[in-house]
Amino acid sequence: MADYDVLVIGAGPGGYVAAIKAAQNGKKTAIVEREHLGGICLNWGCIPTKALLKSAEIFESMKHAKDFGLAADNVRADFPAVIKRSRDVADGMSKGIAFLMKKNKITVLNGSASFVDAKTVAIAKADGTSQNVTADNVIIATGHKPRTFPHLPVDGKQVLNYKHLLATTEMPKSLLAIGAGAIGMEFGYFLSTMGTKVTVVEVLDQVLPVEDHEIAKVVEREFIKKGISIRTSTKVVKLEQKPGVVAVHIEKDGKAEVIEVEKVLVAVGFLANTEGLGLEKAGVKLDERGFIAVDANQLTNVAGVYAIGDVAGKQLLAHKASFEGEAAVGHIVGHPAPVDYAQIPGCTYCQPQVASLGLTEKKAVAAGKKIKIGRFQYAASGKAKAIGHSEGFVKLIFDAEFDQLIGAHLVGYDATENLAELSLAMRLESTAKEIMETIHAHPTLSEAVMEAAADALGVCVHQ
Amino acid sequence: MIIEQLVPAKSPTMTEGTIVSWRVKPGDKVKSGDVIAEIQSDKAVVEWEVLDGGTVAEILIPAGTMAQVNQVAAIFTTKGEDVKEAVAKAKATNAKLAPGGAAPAPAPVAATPVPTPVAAPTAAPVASTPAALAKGVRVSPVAAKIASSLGVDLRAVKGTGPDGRIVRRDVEAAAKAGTAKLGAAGAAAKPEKPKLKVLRADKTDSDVAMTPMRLIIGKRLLEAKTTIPHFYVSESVDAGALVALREQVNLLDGFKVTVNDLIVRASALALRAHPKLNATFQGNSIRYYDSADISVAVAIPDGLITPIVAKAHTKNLKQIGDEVRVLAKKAVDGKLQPAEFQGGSFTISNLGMFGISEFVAIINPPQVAILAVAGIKDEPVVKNGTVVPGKVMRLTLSADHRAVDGADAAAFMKTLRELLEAPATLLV
Repeated sequence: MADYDVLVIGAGPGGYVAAIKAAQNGKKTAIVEREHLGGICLNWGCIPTKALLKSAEIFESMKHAKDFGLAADNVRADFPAVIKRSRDVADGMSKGIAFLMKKNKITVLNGSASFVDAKTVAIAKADGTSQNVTADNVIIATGHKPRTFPHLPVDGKQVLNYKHLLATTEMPKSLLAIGAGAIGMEFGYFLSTMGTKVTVVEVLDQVLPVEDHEIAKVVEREFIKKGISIRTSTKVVKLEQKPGVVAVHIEKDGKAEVIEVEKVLVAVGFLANTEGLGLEKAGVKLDERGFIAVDANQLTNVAGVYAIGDVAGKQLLAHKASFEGEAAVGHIVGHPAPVDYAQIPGCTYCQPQVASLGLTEKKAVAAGKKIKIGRFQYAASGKAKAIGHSEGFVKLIFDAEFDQLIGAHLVGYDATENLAELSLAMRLESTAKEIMETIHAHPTLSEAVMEAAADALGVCVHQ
Repeated sequence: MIIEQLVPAKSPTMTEGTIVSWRVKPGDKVKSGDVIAEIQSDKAVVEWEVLDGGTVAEILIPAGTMAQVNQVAAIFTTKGEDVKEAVAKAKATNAKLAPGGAAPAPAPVAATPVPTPVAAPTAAPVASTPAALAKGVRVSPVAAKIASSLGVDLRAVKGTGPDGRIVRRDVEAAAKAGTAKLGAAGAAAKPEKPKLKVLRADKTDSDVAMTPMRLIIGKRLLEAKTTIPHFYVSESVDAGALVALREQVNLLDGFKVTVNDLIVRASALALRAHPKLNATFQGNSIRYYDSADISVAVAIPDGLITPIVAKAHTKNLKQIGDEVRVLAKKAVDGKLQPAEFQGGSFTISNLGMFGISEFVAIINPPQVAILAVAGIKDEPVVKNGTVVPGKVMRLTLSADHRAVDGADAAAFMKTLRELLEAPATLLV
């Protein structure tokens, strides 16, 4: 008999949720973690970055105190203290996970896991000893690591990845972010607010390339207003490291340019964390991009071995990992519940924030769908005016025939908090009518969602 | 590796089916893509191709037995593993999926109890699926909207969403299946020699379970007959010229035109002239079609199906005849693709080959009319004031009075008669 019914490797938001779900279903469960419970999300990703962004936001509000009739002179940021707060928040979270593991009677095994065979995993501990554990089912949830490129050599000193930046105690005078995805944009916003001269370079033709083009335009405009230099359709050719500065060679439409900055953030490219896992001993296959290949139930090519989250590819999102964890456990206990990838929300937490779900306008059109679009500008929202954030808008996309919600895109102050009702609406297959007829409290920013639905039906009240 | 071969759903509405026959037996080696069995779904007999190959270790559902979708029909191995445990597990799964829930399957599980792993700690297992909610239809807003637009009865739709909620795909599948031509009454059948069969009195009575197809036919036709306000318009056609034309055309090498082909062609032309009959009823609206996509009822073992001659108005007699024969063969072989029997705009049911005097058919919803074609009989007819020997064929149109009025139906029948009585019009 195996030691455990379910063994989870990696205690990030995919792994620890999978472990709790397995335990709740009566499975004898253990979880292996080589660093900190909570994984990247709690320790080096979602949560500590949100702590930094909150500091930036407050700082920004303080700088605009006068707009609200307040006096706050000589406002300045204490950069090391801001970083320290972020680390403290992360440390607190990790303890919360330890409590959840204990509460659900999940054995936590500290160490690095490596397959001996499909049912046996060796755990190498910090003290140099090793322990073999057996399990009927193994869930791999080891996450991702930043990918390195030969022409963008990350050294942790001048050329950084996000993890380096999270631990830095000195504010760079200037920084160039390579990649205008969520990481590049969030750090760009944070550092620019703190006082760094920021440039963001993106090879594609818009910032936040996965988002709707109209939404991205608003963010780009606001960033430029803040003094951030945005370079889209631009590629980085090489980095030239000199004492104290990095010369970044960029190229747009064949025209070359060199920008000198103190630090470079490489925010492009990720790889699956599969090194040292001994996947070959278990016979687990990877896909052509190096992520673990899984089916709709997260099952790999080997019976009883599952993979979830970043290591299984697709979007690198914590909530996607958690739901894949539930799907894997669902399959183990005989209640399959595959993840519907059309319904995974995505958020970017710079201000204005971006929140989205489902198809963008361009993708819907490319998929041959006939669509109806409803928009509502925050400039027409009383609440947005009152709080001094009238930038941004809500854009909802419905199928033209039956008005089913197929895409939701929000940009604006705290937009991420207003997405959930649209996630629910999409999950319930709602049409524009139900969203429009749902009474939204006044005055709230969420009213813009209701108004956008009404706009799609041509009966908007406030615009 | 041990591979469970689960009974597949071969149509969107299939929940159970009969394994008609196995093409493999224990010990056989099977490649991915091989056909291992034939399954009777609610629509047709279809081939079951497997995705995962291996060696057949055990067949759990014998041929001729009704099986539920996702029951384990067979177990394969890739390396000749011991399947005892897998078989016991599969039998338990099958019992759980069998109608009536967790009761043991009809085939008793192996007498020796299978030891269950006792690794589970004290915590009681938490069921992931809550009990099905009590009565009342649970339906998503968009599904409700589509149902109302397409005239789908939600009470008859099985939900596949969370906790059995009816979601968009369910209504769309039901709407498609509704146009699956199982609702047509009457059917063509193989001509038989005029030999009388007498039921033998010494045979015992027997109860035969309804096949999935018969259940569906029963449900659909009951609904059509009880919910559609049928009315009927009959017409006698002087078929002398039609029969003569057919004989002449068939003198051509490679031609084999039937009366039915002529009627399909004539109906297509008449439908183009009277588009009110070339329509489907959708609850709050009627959809009129440009193309005459004619469903032709074909008898198949223990049921019937209506493959479609698409765009019949654009096809000549030979094209129509060739197509009908290909479709009919596919229908009998159970190889029709859904697109070949879903979505017609008008149905023809022909019992002429039995020499029937006349009959009326049940409308095939959501279509609004069906033509019942009887046999051609030698009868006296009046021509130029004189009674002469003639050939008469009776046609009866059943129409849905919600979409079609008597005058429309009569006008259509008049055109149809004129075409059939001057059949040279069908050659151009």
